[in-house]
Amino acid sequence: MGDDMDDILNIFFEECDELLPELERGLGELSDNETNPETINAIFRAVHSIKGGAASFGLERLVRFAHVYESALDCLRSGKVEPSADTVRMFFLAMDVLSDLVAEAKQTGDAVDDQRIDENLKNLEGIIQQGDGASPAQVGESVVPEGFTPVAVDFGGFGFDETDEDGTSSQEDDAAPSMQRLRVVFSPHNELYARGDDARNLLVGLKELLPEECAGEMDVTCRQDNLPTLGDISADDAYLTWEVLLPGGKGGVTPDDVNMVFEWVSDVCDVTITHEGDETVDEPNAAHAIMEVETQPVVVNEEEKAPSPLPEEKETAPLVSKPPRKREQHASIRVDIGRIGMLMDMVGEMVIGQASLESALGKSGALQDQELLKRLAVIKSLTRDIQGAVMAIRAQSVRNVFQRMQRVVREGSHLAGKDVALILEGEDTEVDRTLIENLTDPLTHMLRNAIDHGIETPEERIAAGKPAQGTIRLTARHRSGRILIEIRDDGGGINQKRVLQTAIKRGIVPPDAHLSEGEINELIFAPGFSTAEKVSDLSGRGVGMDVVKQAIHNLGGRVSIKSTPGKGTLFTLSLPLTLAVLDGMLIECSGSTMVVPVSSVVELVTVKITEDVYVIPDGSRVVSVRGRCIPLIYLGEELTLPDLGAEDRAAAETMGAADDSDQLIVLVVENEAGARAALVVDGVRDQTQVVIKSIEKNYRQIKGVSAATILGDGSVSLILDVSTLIVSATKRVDTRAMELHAERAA
Amino acid sequence: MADNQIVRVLTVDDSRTMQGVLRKALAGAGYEVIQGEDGVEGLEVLEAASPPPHVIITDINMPRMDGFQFIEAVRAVSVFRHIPIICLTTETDEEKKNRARALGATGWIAKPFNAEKLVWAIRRVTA
Repeated sequence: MGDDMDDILNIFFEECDELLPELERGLGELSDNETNPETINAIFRAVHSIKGGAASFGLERLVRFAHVYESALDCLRSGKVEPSADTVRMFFLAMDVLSDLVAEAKQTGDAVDDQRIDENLKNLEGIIQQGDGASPAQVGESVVPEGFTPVAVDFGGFGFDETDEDGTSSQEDDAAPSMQRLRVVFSPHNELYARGDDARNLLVGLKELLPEECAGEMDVTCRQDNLPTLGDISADDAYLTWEVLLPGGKGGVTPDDVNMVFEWVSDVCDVTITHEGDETVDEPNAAHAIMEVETQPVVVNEEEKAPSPLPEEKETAPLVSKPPRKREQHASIRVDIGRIGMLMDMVGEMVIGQASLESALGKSGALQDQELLKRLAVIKSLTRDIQGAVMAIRAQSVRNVFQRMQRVVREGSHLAGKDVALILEGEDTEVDRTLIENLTDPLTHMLRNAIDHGIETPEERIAAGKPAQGTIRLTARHRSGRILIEIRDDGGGINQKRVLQTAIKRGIVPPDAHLSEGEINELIFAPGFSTAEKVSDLSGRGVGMDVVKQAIHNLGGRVSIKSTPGKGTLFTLSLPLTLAVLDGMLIECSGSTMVVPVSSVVELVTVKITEDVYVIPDGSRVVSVRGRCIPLIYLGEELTLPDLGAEDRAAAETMGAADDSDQLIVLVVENEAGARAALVVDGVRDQTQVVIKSIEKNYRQIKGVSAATILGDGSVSLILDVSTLIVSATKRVDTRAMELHAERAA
Repeated sequence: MADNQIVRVLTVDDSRTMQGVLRKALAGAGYEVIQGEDGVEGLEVLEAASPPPHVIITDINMPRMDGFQFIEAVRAVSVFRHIPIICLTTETDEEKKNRARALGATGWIAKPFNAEKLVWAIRRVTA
């Protein structure tokens, strides 16, 4: 049972994870003045469902808060309160508390500060009072959830004892003589049957009140005084009156018990409860039937059949029930994320297994066999499809994260006193779930940053001839196996002069540094950098853009900036679609096999050292590929590997150039920003899918290396972080060029 | 209800948590449970169920088709006219109770429910 309950509890938390964004979305619409009733209902329902679920688990703090929240929302729903900006903001704040209380219950978050809860409760109660102002008596009722104590569902003890709901036992009535019986007379109205109820239900309900030792001591009399002649009987009308004698007094049935049976029908059934002997009842035409409820409940059924309005239908149900029908209507199932993770891991192993099979076959020479090759190709393509399918299972649209950003912008612009609209594009773009989970924080920070530093105040904007309202566009799209997320603001752009000054002031760059525009922009990602002249509410949270960059980097992604003074700034996040697998090109370098992601390879060419490689004055090299000069990176050197290639080259130079010693194998690679570099490698082995294994988790982060993988032959190989390599190469070349330029100018 | 017959209960609630709790409580008490996640689905499940459920437990506040509409829709089908319907909801408003009654609801239980009370309620309407 404990496990079962844990399962349900997990369902509850999962549901909260869905309801909270819904709540947020709804509140967002409210604050955009879209007050359609469906939205308000959805908001209400979200809180309502959280409360209901929490109550089942006795999550008292959560329930109490949700209850007041719900009551406040009810005022909104019933139109007693207008969704003013203030009200909506309070609802937003309350949503945060609710969300934190869920986290608290889930034990993924810290205990929520009581004072914060109280403050929010006070806000909400204010809203309720505002709505119910006219009738203060009701206010107290709805505000203080006194009558609402969460009771965890107790699955123990389904048996019935004599104790009724309130815990009052049947023995209260000890004043009555123990043999005195209770006489219950009831006549159902037609409406009782229209509600799916039945006199028989009431009779059996009464019978169940009997204490065990009195079982069977119930006399039932059916009075048929009102029964018309057969021709006048209407099948839908009720004619019968029932009189039931129950053992009363000590240990017997009390009037309260009886009232409970009739609780739901008090308005559609005349009931009188008296102690036997207190009054005499005429019994003309009484057809006396002693009801043997214990053994023959069917007797009553038969008797009642004629006048009861439910003859045909009720009996259509066969006596033996078939196994429950599955809910075929459902087109989706819920799967624990752990299982999909497992599947993903296994697919990864399968990829490795298939690669190792291929490599073993290759060694044995069996791959010459065309038939075998064909079969292997089929398996390869299947593996790839399975991988795609598993990845698709894990994929989620970025919609939820994006919509959360609406609020970030709303609050941010409110705090900064700016008017900013957020436009979302491509919310349906799908990404791996793990990525989505980790996107919220970086995006939040970048948006805050854009509001705080990017968008100007309305006055400044008008002065610059722009609309007073600033715009931030948040877009997501797929591009060549990655997802690109862009944050584009139409603000003032990065003030490069100020950035550089600040960086120099903070000692991030030396005062005499000559930096390219791109490099200056990059400075905002430097640890300890902040251009905010005053510490604002927004960005003064101790988190800099360096943390954002690190977070994106940890996800296997990169951030790039483009800024146009006066026009705005564009941040581009480029992220892998998945953290699990990539297409890699296996290259040889300094005796090691390494993997270059195919997505970043532009072309593979051979160049002649003597003809195509130029040493620029600062000593670094560029290579001309199809007329375009690209920085040349000796990979082994860059990664500080023992440079076997250099020896070969040196040897080639001293021994006199052999035919191919003049040749370099060059892999032209490109990053998202379009910057290229040429990697000098010793050879290219193969192209294959590799399973990414985190190197940071198992070792530590290495510059120029993004992860590791296991190859088909079982050896471990490093996956190169091409972008980092390109950046360091271009930086070197650009910077030196600038220095030269400066020297020349001097 | 004859003792040897398994009572089949249809629960209609948009909260999966509540559905889980109901399933557990009812299955634990020996009932057969079929479920629908809102009024629309509740009706679909009801129509597809063979034999039809002996009792329906429904939430009131649901998307697409709420409890009131659901009760009305169930009662509009002659074969389902006499299936007892118990509302299981946090709504305590007397007006709403009356509305549900007028539409044909048999009983009313407050959430959070007590498993014993729930079983009592089912027995109360499925004698």
